[in-house]
Amino acid sequence: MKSPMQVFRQLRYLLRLRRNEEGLAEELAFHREMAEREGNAIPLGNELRIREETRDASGAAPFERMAQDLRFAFRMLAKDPGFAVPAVLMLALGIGVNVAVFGFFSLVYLRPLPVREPDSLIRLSRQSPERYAYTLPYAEFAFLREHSRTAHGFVAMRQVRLATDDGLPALQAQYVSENFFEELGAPIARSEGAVISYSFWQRRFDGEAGVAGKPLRVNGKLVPITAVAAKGFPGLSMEPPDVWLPMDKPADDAEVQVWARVAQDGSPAAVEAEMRGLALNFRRVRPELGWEQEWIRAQAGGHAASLVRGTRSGTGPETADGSNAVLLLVASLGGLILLVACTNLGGLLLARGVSRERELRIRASVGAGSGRLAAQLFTESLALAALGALAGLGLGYGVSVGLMRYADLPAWLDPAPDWRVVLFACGAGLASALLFGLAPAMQGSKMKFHAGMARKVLIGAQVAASCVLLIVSGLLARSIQQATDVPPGFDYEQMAVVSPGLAERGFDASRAGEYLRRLEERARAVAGVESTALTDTSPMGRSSTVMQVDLGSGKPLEVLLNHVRGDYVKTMGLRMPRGREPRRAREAAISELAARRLYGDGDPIGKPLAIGGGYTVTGVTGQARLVRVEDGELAQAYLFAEEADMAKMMLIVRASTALETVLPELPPAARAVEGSVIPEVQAMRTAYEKKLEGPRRGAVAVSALGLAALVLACGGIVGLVAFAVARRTREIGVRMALGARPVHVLGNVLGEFARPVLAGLVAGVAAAATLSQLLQRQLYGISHLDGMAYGGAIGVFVATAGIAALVPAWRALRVDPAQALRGD
Amino acid sequence: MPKNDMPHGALALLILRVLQGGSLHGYAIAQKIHLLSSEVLRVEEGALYPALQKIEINGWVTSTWGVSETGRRVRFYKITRAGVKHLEAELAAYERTHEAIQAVLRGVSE
Repeated sequence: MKSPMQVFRQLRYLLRLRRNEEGLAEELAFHREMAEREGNAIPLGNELRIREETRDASGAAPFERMAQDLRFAFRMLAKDPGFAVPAVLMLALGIGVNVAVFGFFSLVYLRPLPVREPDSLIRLSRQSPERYAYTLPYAEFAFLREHSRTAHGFVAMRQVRLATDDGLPALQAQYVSENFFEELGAPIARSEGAVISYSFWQRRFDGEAGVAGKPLRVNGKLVPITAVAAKGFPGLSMEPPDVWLPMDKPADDAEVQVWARVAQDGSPAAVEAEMRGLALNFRRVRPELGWEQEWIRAQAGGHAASLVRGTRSGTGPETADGSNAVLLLVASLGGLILLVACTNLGGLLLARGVSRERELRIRASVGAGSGRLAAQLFTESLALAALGALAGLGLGYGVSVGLMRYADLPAWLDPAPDWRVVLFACGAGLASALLFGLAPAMQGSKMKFHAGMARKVLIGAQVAASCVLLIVSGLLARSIQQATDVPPGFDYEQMAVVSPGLAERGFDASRAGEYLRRLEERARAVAGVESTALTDTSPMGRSSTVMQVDLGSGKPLEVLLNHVRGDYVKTMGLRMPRGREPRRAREAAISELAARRLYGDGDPIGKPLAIGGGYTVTGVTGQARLVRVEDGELAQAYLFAEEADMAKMMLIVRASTALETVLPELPPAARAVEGSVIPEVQAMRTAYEKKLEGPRRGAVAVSALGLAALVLACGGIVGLVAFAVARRTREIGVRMALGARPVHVLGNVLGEFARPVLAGLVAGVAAAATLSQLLQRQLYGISHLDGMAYGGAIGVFVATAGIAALVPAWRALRVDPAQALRGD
Repeated sequence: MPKNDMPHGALALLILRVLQGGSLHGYAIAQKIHLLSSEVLRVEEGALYPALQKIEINGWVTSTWGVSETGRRVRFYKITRAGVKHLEAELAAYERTHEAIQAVLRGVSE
């Protein structure tokens, strides 16, 4: 075994080969001179031979041979640009797509945040059998900070919108614990004032140098600006806020996001173990804040993925992230593209191998062993792969930059490839070299190998892979079309949402109730407002509470819980086929799906509800897609809101006249209630369009992949058919001369491909059916086995591939028989 | 022309042994082996320099360019710590083999 140091010294020796050999010559000359001078026998060794033996003794010969092969490979590629350029481009496309996908994954899940010691950061969340939350009450944060021995450096953060000067948009602010900047390694001293973000500094103050010390109006008070955060400093949120403010001891039940650090010899698991006990103790001390059977989860907190979770919360166990399924799907599709590119290249190389047969035979006859020839051919594939990986890295970077712009990701996420991405590109290159390079290497070395068979396998694989890509993009396109075409079950056109964010502002329930009553009054007084209602779930909003109801049989029923008050059904424009909406405490309405699953054919009106505890059903509403546009399997329950729910509520407004005239009247109405509260006012239509954006982008991205695969596959098929036809030119010529009908000859030539194509189609459909299961939740209104999508995809593929195959075949038929016979 | 009459690996051992006394250039190494062996062993340059190369790749010696006693530029070889360790291990093994062989030879002659 060679040690790494030895290999390093061997490589160094090779790199300095010329200098080393000159050195040796000098040494030998000196040796002879000394021998002569001292009257010893003058050595008669052959200097050239000594030099050879010295080089061999270094043990670096295999490397040297490899370098030789590589030089030769690049020379061969340079000599044949007609082959090399398309080959490298094809590989670059295949590798580039995967580099982009992996780059995105790495950016979110692997790359450490640009803060101090990101590896030891953990994010704390609460869990219990009933629910989970990524925020903790401030009192619990303080309790854990005081008592934990396995974790230290606790950081708390609370995001709020705060009013600033009149006429300017509200501030996105974060209250942060005093150690925030120090813990995250931002060179900002602890301060009493406001720290503004780089982008806010640019936006509001045009990057003015003397901004420190200037006052900023925050909720009616003037706060001095003490510092500007560095450009790339994200803090602990995906989108940095406008301003960070010191968190002076907030209410005990104020919900804060919490990060901490594990001790150097500790682990998140140890922290979780300790905090099991701490959570129990906390519940003993503060029974109103702690949860029953609560435990604290400590997840790695040092990358963007932990920021994305924000203030997520819900009932039941935390369900797996839907984006994981999508990422897995996109990764599989990327892999398929690379597979298609590789099979294409394999085909090209096979064809080239045939035309190089003569060269290879000559080289074999002058003494090249078959292993040496295979090594040489494989080295050529490696050279090709290296070029492809390099170009793919560039292409992937370009795609990533475009994607970042398109998906509106924050600027501090830097898409430039890091060592992980470079390593991935190298790996992808090596894997593809193995894929496409093995066949020609075996062929070249005259190992037992059946070129015809290989060609068939290549075609089958290509057809299968392209089929999968087309089917999946067809499914997504159909689903997005359905989601857009089928109305969401409520009338979003003439609606607006006014979210005051009372809980984040520290309003308690009674103060919030009072505020909302006055806000509703003012809003109703605005000309053109038809009706208003209160809800805790913003339609098409970011957060929602979903409850899983286990029905004993079948899939558990998932129910979206809304707490509502006022003319909810009318304001939302919901259908109400039976009964009436909830009007007093402990009344509830449920959607049709919930009614069917919970009560079967029976009439639910007047019956007790199995959700929430102690509710009676007063009505059944039509199904609506309130939060997830693409999710048709989510039932709804509308529970009459208690006074205790008031701090979480927001106002929804329906306009009878044009919404455009009502919208601008709403903020002043809110300010008249309480000047310090600046609510977010949004037209429902905008929120709805925004929600559709995600699936739409997904469909566009996958369609682009599908198109790329189709183009690649067609290119490959043209090449393979042309090659097959070219080998049979003479036979075709003879047949034509003997009077065969062109159609028959054509059928004979193409018939060779019928079986692999059919097999590829079957394999492709099977693979697509399996893979698309991942998509089920993302598909609205169609099954993942949707016939239209499958049929359409196969139709498109067969049509394009057929045309692609006919072109070279037809050309062969028009060859002059006499010329074909003369041949060669 | 035989390269040398030494068993495989023995030359490396001799080189390392003479380098233990301080760094030397190639010619001096050959001379020293020659002298120390009471002029029995003659190290040909055709064997010496490949062996030096191999030893250097293995990390047992390092070389630096210096000036010889005659004022010429020449490479000086210096034993490394790894080289000393290797030498000690090899010498111990050699001793053991040597004693074993001696024991057998004595046993047969009695």
